[in-house]
Order: sequence, then structure tokens, then C-alpha cells
Amino acid sequence: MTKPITNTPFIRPASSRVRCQARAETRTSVQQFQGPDAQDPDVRDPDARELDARDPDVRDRDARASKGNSDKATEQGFWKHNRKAGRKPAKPSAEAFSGKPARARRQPAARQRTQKRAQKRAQKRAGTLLQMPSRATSSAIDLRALTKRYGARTVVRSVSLKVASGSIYALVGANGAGKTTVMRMATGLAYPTAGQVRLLGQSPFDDARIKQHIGAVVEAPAAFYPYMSGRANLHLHARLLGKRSRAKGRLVAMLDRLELLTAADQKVATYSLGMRQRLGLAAALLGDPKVLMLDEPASGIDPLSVNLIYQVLKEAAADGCAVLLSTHHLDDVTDYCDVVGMLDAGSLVREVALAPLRHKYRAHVSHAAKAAEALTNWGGVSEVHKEASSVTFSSSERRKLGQVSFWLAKARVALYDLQPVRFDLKRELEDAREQAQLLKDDGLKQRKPHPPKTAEDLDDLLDLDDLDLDNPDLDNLELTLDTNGDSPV
Amino acid sequence: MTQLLRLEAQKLWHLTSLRFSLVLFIVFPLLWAYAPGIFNVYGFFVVSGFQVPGLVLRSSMEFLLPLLVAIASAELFGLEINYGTLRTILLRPVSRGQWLTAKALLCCFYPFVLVYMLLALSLLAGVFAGYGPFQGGTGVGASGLVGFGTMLPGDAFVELVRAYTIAACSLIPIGLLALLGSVLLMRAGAGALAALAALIVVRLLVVFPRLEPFLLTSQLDAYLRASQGVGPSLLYISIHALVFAIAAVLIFDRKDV
Repeated sequence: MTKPITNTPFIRPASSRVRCQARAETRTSVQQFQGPDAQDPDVRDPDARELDARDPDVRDRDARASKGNSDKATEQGFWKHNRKAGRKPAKPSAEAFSGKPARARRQPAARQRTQKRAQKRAQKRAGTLLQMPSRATSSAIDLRALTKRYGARTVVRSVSLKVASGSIYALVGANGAGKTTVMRMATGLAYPTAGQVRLLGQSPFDDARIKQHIGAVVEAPAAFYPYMSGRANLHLHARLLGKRSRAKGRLVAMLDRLELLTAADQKVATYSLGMRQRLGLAAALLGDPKVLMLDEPASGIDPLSVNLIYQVLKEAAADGCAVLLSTHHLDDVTDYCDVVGMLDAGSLVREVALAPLRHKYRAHVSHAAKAAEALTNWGGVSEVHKEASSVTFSSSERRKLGQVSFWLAKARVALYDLQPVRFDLKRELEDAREQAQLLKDDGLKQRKPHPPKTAEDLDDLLDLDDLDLDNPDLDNLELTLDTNGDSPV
Repeated sequence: MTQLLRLEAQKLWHLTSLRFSLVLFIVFPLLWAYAPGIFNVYGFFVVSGFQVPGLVLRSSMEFLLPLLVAIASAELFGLEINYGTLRTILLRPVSRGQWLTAKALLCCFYPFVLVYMLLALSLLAGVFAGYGPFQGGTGVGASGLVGFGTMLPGDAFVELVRAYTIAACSLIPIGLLALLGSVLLMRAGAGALAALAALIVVRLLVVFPRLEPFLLTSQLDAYLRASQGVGPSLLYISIHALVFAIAAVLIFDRKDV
């Protein structure tokens, strides 16, 4: 589930696709489950990228729901549905926009307006007049073409990513790749030079109240007042969050879940690094957030604490929280995260949906071709690929694995062993960086074109390899060469 | 806002500069009260406990109190950077403007804490000379240290409180200037130094006589002026304070943290 990101000025989509072919056997392209509309990453619907990030089961369920239940169509879904079907979109009904059932629509308009005003007043009184994300906003975290420049230095280049509710997105990359800057912009601490941040459909720069629904740790170790106890620090955070989270039960529950209850009354100055990180996570989870953002949550702490932190993140995601984290711990990313985004020199060079890769298996067999044929014919597993002495396939249902040996035996193929395929994130990261560098070099070359002197130069420049010279239309084709502008032709 | 003010007030007692000031304020008045060479410098002897606070204020308003206020105000902001809590707090539903306004309010309040602490400790230091009626003045009123005859304890105390209150008011812009400096430079020490450097430069602007009445440094001795001279000084102090506070809030609102 890999795709190159082609939003940097250096990257040519065409050449990126050519290079991707080299590793097509080991990776499954994102386009495979996006349909023909999504073949070109540049023309793909931006919302389609979010679909990649989700678990296939959730994705399928959502797709079924959107197909079958047009009454519940959202504004975004409505337009997208029409666009994808290639139809001219008709004017959507008010119901489609409001998401209300038909009965509600039939109410007298004046009565509806009165109800709306009463609701608004009640919200205002409660101090929570906050435009919550409409059904149309399906991504809890939506970063659009974020760019950050410090003077002439660009540290983040047009990074766009979406994190759906209930999924964990990990940003990985070398030191200085721009992870922390992206996190700081995403949390509203640093202003992007260009681009937009949308958290639950709102910008954190416009209204601080959206942060009631956001938990974040952007310091490593998490920062607290050292002269106060862990419990007092959490009380302080609860007070700043408002009345809702001040419930002592939640505070104690968080301390307990993160194994800090015994040390809760000690001053934070006496805490170890791991304890501080856990306290940071407890503070972030205190307000029962819908969005969680963590910069290096497992930095410099022991494996047991790392495990605990990721378990808690997994639980938060299971509760519907969208989690965005940056980390260097690639193994943990493979084990716990749903999507990984790879940053290199400030650009998001690749996104990989990890959830489907966790269901991938490799069977060493006596005859790979026969085995592949047998498994394909059976249909109980998907994405069957033949290798030299083995076959790889995907299966989200563990019980079907037991039937693999039966079907192979039926095809008279011996099964030597069957193991899950572990995704090599480190290799993927190196590859992504290498590819980004190549594309960058290509881009630089493209930026400074040499005027063609020979016919071969012209051929290279125009990339005429795929040109059908027998096409009669070519007789009327006129080419103009302009080497003064940025574009050579 | 109330929560933020409470939080900031709690932090006040954890400021290193406040503890340092407390120690200094215990030692400093004692030095003045028992200094053997005071006659050689000022040509008089301390005859009342009410004269010690006057002497202390006159000597400390030159440099010590502005320095302590600048350091503490810069520390109020710099402390958050040192602890890393600046980001932690801003990740909560707290607007930057609100948060810095709470800090600015505390910067306005802090000089009063400082000068009243100094007044109390100076009065204590003068206990050897007694607090009865005395011949002379407190040194901070219209009559100076020589006075116009016998001064009653009540009058002396009122004169001291007035002088200390006006002195605290004139220190407010310095605190806010230090806050502005630390917001700009994102460092406590650098912010305090920037404020003091600015004060030194402003002090040099007395070479432009037309500017002098409006300068921040010209308001530092407002506590010595008679009632009619204090009004304009307080106005200039307020204008300076407002400008520095608004600038700090606006700059912080657009600052990356």
C-alpha cells in the first residue's frame, strides 16, 4: 500500500511511476484499491488518500454505507459520488447538506429556526460554542500543503496528510527531516508559511477552544512544573481544560492506567524520563481527546514503558481518537500504527498503509506456481503472489490460514512453512529517501535545461519514447522550443 | 482568565529573583541603617526608624529596583521556556493573548509586592532609632531629610506609603518592557538585559530637553515630586505600560513557540 508523494516541486510524477515499477512486486500500489480514477497521484481526489489510511474493513464498511444509504450522504460525499460517477452533479437537497432525516425537514421553518437559536443559546451559556466537525469532515487531522520557511531555508515543503478518527499515523524520518516542525504546526504552536491545518474541521490558530478536544505532547520529555507533584500538574491541566475533565475519577484512572499512581504525589522534579513521558500522555488523555498528537513519545525510555505507551495509544485509537505521532522507533511503528508517512528533507516522500500489510503471509512450498494457482482458484485469500520457492498472500481472517494447507495439499503441493511477512520499514524508508533524492536531482536537471544541440538531445528533452510515429495526427503537429522559461518546451 | 491569574500568582513564589530580592531586602536596609559612614555621604544621622525606608528607596530606585523588577518580569516568561511548559500550556484551550495578558497583569502587580516588602523590611531595620515623633523628614516628602520641624509618626508613615506606591507605579513599565524583551528574544536573561540596555539608552536621551519630560527614566523619581507633578508622570507611566504590554501581546500572538 505504497505511493509516492509528488507534491514537491522537484518531483515529476511520470518518472516516479517508472521508478516505482522496479519494486512493484514487493509493494502493492495504493492505486489498486482506489480504482481507475486514482491512477495518477496528482489528479487523485485528496479525500481518496485518506481512504488509504484506514483499515480495509472500515474502508469497505464505509464504502457500502455510502453506496447503499444515500439519505445519509454528506455534502462532501454527495459531490464526490457524482464526480466519481462522471455525472454532472445535480443540485443537492437540503437534507444532503444538513444530514437530517426527511421528517425534520418537514417541520415548519420558523420552528426549526427557534430550535436552532435555543440550542445556540444553551451552548453559549455552557461556554462551549464551538463548531464541531460536520459529518462532511471525515478527517480528524487534515494538514494541507504545509510549508515552513525560516528565512531562505525551507524546513517543511508542502506536506499534506490526513488522519482519520480511530487510526494511528506515524511520521518517521531522519533527524532534521522536519517531523517536529510538522507537529508544532499541526498543534498550532508554529505558524505555517503556507498551507492549512484543520483539526476536527477547525483551525487551531483561529479558535483556542478547539484544543479542548486535542491532547498533545510536543516536548521530549514532557514538560511540567517541576516544583509541583504529578497529581497537582494534572489537576492544573484539568482546570485549564474546563469543568468537564475535572472529574477526579478520570485523573486517577489516567494515573493508574499509566502506572503512575504510586508516584503521583512526588514532585515532578524527581521523576525519571519515562515517568515524565507517561505523565505527559496522561495529561494529553485527560480531556478525553478526539485528536492526539505526540512528538517522540517513546524517546529515550525503556522498552516496557514504550510498550505501555503504545498500548494506551492503541486503546485511544480504538475509542475513536485520531493519533498522529512522530518517532524513530520503526519496529513499534510497524507493530502499532496504521499508516506511516516518511519525511525526508521536509517533504513527505511516501505514505504506507500498514494495517493491510500485517495480514500478509509467506508460504514456502514445493512448487510455487502450482501453489499460487491453487490459492487463487480457492479465493479464500487475496493478493497471491508467486516467488521463487514461495507464495505470498493476504488474509485478514486467521481461521482461513488453517485451510491453506488443505488447498495446497489438494493441488499436490507440499507446504514447508507458513510465516507472517514482516514489513521492513527501515528498508522502505531508505528506499523512499533514495527515490526522493533521485527525483530531486531530476528536478534540478530539469530546472536548468541545456539547449538541445543534436537530435538525440531533442529526443531526450521531449521524452518521445512512447510516441506513436504512425499516428497521422502527428503530420499536423507543430513544436515550439522555448528554453528561456522554466519549462523547456 | 481567573485560572490563569491563579496559576501565575502561584508561580510568583517560585521565582528565583523573588527569593534573591527577599534576601537582598533583609541585608540592604540594615546596611543603610547601621552604615558608619552615612554622615560623610549625606551629612546627617538617622534619627528615626521612618528615615531608613526613605533612604533605602532613594538609593535603590537608581538601579537596584529597576533591575530586580526587570529580572523578575523576564523570568516570569523565561521560566516557562526553561521548564518547557510554554508549549504545554499553549496546547490547552488557552489563547496566547489571554495567557500573556495574565503575565502582564502579574508584571504590573509584582513591583507593588517588591516595594511593600522593601518598605516593611526597611521599617524593621530602623527599629533601633524608634518610631516616635522626630525632628526632620522621611527623605521622600517635600521636606526631604531635613524637614520643617517635628514630624508625627502617622504623617511619616503616610508619606512613605505614598512614595513607595508611586515608585511601584513607575516600575511597572520597566517590568513590561522586560516582558516584551523576553517575548521578542525568547530568553529570560536576554529579555532583562534588553530592558536594562533600553533604560540606559533612554536615560541618555536627556540631551534632548524637549523629550525629557516624556521619557520613561524621567518618571522614576516621580515619588519625590509634589502632588501636582505626579499626575502627568502617572499618565506617561500608564502610556508606556500600555504600549509595552500591547506590543508584547501582539508579538507573542504571531510568534512560533
